Amino acid sequence: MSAAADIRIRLSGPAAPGGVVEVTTLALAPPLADPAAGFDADGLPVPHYVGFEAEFDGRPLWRAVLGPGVSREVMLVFSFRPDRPGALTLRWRRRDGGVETRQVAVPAG
Amino acid sequence: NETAYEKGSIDRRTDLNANDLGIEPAAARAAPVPPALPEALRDLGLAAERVAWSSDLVLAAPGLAEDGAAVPVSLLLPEGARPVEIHLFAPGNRKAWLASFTPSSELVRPEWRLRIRVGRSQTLAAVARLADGRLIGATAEVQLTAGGGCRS
Repeated sequence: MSAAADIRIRLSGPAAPGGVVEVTTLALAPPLADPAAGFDADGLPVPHYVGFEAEFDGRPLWRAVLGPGVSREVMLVFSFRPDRPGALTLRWRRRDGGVETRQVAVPAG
Repeated sequence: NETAYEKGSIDRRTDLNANDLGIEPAAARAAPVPPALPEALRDLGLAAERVAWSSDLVLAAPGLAEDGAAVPVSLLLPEGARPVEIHLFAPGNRKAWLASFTPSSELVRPEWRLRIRVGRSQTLAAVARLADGRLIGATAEVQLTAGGGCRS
């Protein structure tokens, strides 16, 4: 079993009525022992993360498909208007089919 | 490899004059789109001729970027706009398509930031498909100061 991926999540603040919460995420890809392993036979970057999903209290917010042209360390910033305090679930899909899931509470403002 | 890129970037820089791809909607509509873009759009089932280059979609990038492996870009639509999907392209990279975003809730604001790889100086593009079926696009120029090197 590999160690948990290094994923950082920051919320701009709590869920104030009518307010916006900005979510900043950075999913670090594991360092490569051989830098050449980060590129395929054609010399294109091989992404570690290929997809992303965000949910608020089980309701899908948005999702992304990420190609090799997205930076290896995936930084995504988005914002939403939570209609109540709740749980924000973020999921990163790895190229190997695995999924990294993180949940953060969006507290009442 | 490196030399080929450098040569390519110089050639393309003259081909793709930033002023020809201005974000003035009227001017931009008549502007030539980066050559790799129509093909990348077609791969996604979208017709380049249908894209209206519009100031409603804002693609922002630093004009000058030092590290081509992590160039910050942002996408912005007016509050209340209902994008169904947003696609981001670096037509000067060897693979033009970068990422696609699909909002699925009215809670989400139509604004995103991310970091992308830029293989050489070029004009980036974003295309959004709106709920009413319209396609709107925007472009942003990035000049790499260190001459590329992220191999995208």
